[in-house]
Amino acid sequence: MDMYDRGRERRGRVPYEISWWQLTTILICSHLSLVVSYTPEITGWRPPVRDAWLAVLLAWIPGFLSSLAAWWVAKRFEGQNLFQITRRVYGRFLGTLANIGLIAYFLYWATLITREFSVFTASVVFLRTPEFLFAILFLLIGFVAASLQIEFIGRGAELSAPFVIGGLLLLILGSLPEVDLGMLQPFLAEGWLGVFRQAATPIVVFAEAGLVALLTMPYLNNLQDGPKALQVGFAINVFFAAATAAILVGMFGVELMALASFPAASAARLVRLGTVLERVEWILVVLWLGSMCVKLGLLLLGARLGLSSLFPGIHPAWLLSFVVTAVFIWQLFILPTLAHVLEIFVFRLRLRAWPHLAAELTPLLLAAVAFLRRAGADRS
Amino acid sequence: MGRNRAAVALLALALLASGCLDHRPPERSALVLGLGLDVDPEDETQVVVTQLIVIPSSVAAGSENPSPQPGTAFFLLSSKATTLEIATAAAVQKLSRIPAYAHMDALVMGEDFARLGRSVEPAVAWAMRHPEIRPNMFVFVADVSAQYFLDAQSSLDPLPGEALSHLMDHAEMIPFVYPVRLFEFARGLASPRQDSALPYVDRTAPADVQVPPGFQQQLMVDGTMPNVAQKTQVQLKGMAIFKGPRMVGLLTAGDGNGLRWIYGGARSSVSIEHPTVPGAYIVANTVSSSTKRRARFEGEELVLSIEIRATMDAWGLGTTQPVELGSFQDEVHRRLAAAIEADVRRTMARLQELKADIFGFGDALYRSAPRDWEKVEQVWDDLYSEARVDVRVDVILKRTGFFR
Amino acid sequence: MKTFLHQLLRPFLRRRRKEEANSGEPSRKSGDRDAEKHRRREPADDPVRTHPEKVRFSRRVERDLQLIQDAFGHSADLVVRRFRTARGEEAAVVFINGLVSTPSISRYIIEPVMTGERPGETVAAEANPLAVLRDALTGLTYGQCLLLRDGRDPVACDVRDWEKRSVPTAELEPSEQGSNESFLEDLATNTVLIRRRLRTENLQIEKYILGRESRTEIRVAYLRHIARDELVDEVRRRLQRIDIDAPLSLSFLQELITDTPWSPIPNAVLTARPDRTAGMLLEGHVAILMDGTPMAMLVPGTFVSMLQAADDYASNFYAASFTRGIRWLATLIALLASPVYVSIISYHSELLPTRLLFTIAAGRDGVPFPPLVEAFLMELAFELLREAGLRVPRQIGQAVSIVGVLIIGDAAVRAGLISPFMIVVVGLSAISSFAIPSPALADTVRLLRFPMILLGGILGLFAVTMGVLVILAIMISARSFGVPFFTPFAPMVGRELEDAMVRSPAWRQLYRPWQVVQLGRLRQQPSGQKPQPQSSREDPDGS
Repeated sequence: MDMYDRGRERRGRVPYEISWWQLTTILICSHLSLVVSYTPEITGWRPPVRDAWLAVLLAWIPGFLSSLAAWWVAKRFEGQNLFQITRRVYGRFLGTLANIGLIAYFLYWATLITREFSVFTASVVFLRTPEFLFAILFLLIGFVAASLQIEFIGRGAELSAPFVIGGLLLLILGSLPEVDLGMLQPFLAEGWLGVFRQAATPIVVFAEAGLVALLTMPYLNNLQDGPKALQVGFAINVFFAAATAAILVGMFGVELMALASFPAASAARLVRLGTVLERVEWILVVLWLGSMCVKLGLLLLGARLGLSSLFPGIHPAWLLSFVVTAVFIWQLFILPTLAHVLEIFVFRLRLRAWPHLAAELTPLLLAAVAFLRRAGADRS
Repeated sequence: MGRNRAAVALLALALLASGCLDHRPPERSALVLGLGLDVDPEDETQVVVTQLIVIPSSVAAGSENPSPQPGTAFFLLSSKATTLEIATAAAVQKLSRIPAYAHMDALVMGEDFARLGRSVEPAVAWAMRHPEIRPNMFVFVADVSAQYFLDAQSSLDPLPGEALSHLMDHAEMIPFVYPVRLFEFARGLASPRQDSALPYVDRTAPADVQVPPGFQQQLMVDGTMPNVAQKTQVQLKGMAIFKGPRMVGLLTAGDGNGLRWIYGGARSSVSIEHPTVPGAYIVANTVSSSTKRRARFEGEELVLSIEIRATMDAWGLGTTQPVELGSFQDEVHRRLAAAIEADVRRTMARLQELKADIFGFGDALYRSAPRDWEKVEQVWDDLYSEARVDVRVDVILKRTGFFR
Repeated sequence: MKTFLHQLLRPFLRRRRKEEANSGEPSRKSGDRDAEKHRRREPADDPVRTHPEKVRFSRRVERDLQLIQDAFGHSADLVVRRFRTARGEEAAVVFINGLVSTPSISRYIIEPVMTGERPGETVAAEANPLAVLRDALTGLTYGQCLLLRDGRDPVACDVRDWEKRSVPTAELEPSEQGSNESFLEDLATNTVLIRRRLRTENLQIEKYILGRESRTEIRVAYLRHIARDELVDEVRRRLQRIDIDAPLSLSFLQELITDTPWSPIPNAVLTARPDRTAGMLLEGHVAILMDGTPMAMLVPGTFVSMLQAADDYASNFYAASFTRGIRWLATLIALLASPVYVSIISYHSELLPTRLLFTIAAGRDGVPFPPLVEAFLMELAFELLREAGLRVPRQIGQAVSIVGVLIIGDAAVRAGLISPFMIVVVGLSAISSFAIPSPALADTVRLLRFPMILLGGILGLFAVTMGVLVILAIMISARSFGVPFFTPFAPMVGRELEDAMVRSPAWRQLYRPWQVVQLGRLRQQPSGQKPQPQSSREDPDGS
């Protein structure tokens, strides 16, 4: 029935395709959705260092390198998805082990994100509504997105990214009257050490892009556009993360900022457009919801693809249902309070969570091993 | 499959329905527009919380709704407890609707409450944490008690909170007041390099008519006395100066006249004696002004420098004589600047006396020279109170109206 | 609700379908079995009824007449006139009364054959010899006259002439400044209306007969070299696999050939305007016309094309862009005004300006229903009014609207049943739904409003947003004949965005939409047709 539906399906290739702009918007959605909810650029160190914006400007580099490695790998193994690539690079046994690790990580990450977003939503307005309800709604949309595959996620990101960017612009421009950029002085008061300490959390958050790129890059319709997508995506992410950090510190000052749970949402409550529109935080949250769902859908899809590579006989829909159920049940048992969720972003915990970064830098390792073993080089 | 789908639908519906816990239409909520905080005069440990709750039908717009009668726009509900939170929670038992704080305009502290200072920080923290309360609402200190103040019902804006926020919209024309929002106050409380201040308000009669001795007060047509004595209007009186969380002083018209000039963005009027015509005055209105505050060390001495640039208009020159270019104009500029400088110096002297760094000179020092600040952090208060104040004022009188 | 769920559960359903495919398509099989059963009930020895396409004419007038009359079961409107030719052979004409012009038959068929002016020739413009019974039957029902003669093949002559309307004005999609011609029920006239706008040999018109009982003629029109071959093939394939008794209307047909059978959102553009049809043919779409339906269906349909109206290209491009924006806004308002109102009132009253909140709160004081029920009541009342106004004759329609205005607008508020703001909101969304140019889309929006109100009443803006996301999910995952339904937004096609939200000037419309067009993407010379004054001559300084 479908004509040229579902991308150009070629033998032995991933069946769907996304454009470079869709990849860019996926990167934007997956990063900015966290910026607008928890602003880890600022909440990563308590009290935040005044130069948080500078820390952001430094923090993107590992993530970018990792994403570039992902692009290189995808190019070398054109037409194969992440889990097929790991098997070819590490060999059958090690590759399967690596895939299990990746699946576990995607599951864990999806659980974390579900929990973070549902706690965020429940804490900002719906105070009396149980959090699991939001988890269900997020997972429901994530399920739809993941079941409609990367093509849908790409298009969804394409629609959501302008909203998340527009919402952030509204926030930044709307709060400018309250901002005293003098509060960003003195520059480097806590020295470069402080900046690096502050950068620790953003580094991990930016490095997520490595895995996102590794997951999505094989679907790019023209692999030559990969670096372009990464550059544009990172440029937008870095700009907005840094601008948000600067604006927030300039508005609240570091001392008050150290107390804020959701700095962006707090700032949004200050924005007023004349006397007509006040309390725009809800409008902003609404604008941001789409990108949260895109991110969740992508992670669920990642876990599902991994399971499909392990159990090719089982229908994807059942695997996806399993993933969603697992995430839902898991998220009931982690991070019981808001304080726990906020701790996630704090440097101390991030130190303990170096495995995070290690997992996120998988593309680098993958590229290195592939290069050394010359795997994939003999493709015909 | 069909049954499964129906089950999923029912489940989703049931789950969604639990969201109704947050359901709160306006007819079921009591809209709290102002919150007053006082200390119980008989027991200092008790906080009296007064909530100003609006009666929507009496202030609603539209032809169906009549304009409000005096005294019907709102009612006050007070409750007493050891902390603000307990007191607000206790108020629920007297209300048939759930209080909603989302539209609160003003947080008012009684002077005693502010001077005691014990509960100021918890109150601000509560308001900042509260998901409904806007962090950009205004905070005030009220003469006598917050409760008494909230009972005012202005003729133009019957809701005191609304009257105050409208007053605050043009506060730049009042030389001894500047607006402070909740988050700014909280920022001041949280910062170790800055103190804070709040506008000081009280009630007044609409017309302060003094009947000269020997004259009979004229009766109204219905034979009653005019209602001049009833203090229904709200007025801004000055700034309550805080040192940390405690109010330590009050600057009103007079020694507080420099406040807005130091804060920045003043648009008040300045009057000086006419340079050439004896007995005449020139009154200049500020069109725009900007202020730069700095702190620096000159040797061992701390210097607080304040630079003000102001553009002014004047219609009231006191005479019909034309304004001449040259020395006359320079003299006018010099005198205007001197008048402003005098106000600023007087205010700064009072602030130094109170050791209250409400304009954040400490923060300014920290911004420009963080090392210096670290050295003097412990002795800042004493340094501040003895610091030399360096004031520079530049004034341009731009327009003099339709007469030369 | 069901369709939503269906979208959600699509993966499972797709799987089921696949299983069926693997196990030898049970559904198809059962259908065949049914057909078999029916056939067995009919007299097995009568091929005239069962396989008329296999019955060949005998060239004997008596026998052939018998065949035809058997096939029609001696229907009353079947007329048979026997006569002898000039040479004395047996002859007869057969036609269906009312579909043909009887004077023409006597003047141009019977008379020449009888008098033998030109032996063996008729004077009819279109005359085809027939071999099998099926063709004869179809011809008769299409207003042809059958001439039977001994020893010769029967000849079908076109003498069709039946009562029909003249070309009507477009009442359904009126235009302020453009043409006001509209399609009518007659297929030939409709074809002419298109042909008159595209006088090119590249305009291809293909003919299909659909429906076992109705034998409805379907025409497929497209521009060769512009419409993609795959698209035309796909249309042919989908039309040919239809096997039902009667496709009664184009919407019915649309449901049979759509890509998204469960989607609530229409997937093809239905228009009654020949100029719009011609415009879309130029952009590479394929038009499907059906006999008896004063509409054309254009595939593929995209969301953007549903919000375009005929006036867009008949007025100034600034004005057209503005009205196009208004229509987008109208769609949003029609879908979201009531749900957002309900959710703001129920959950997010902090979003309202304080004074407005007082007014709303005062208006709601004493209203016995929660906002959700209130909104449902009012929307339902509006739908009732609309439906009633549609059903009653135009004269009574006035009365219906007066009753509606009085009872719903005023009395309900005075009686304290409804708050005045609800009336404003419902009125706004009602008016907005009328501003949506595609009636099919407007219906969908009105329908989707109800679940959205429910969501808004249940979990406020959060749920409304989730609802919007689900609707968006349905739209962006859908395709119409292979073209993504939500293009050019998702997937984004930068060049076409220009003509999606706004209407770009004629000289800027350089390209045709890329998904449907195969060749000749360029509509005009690449240098552009932007009018420019000759500058050198105009320079007043002469320098």
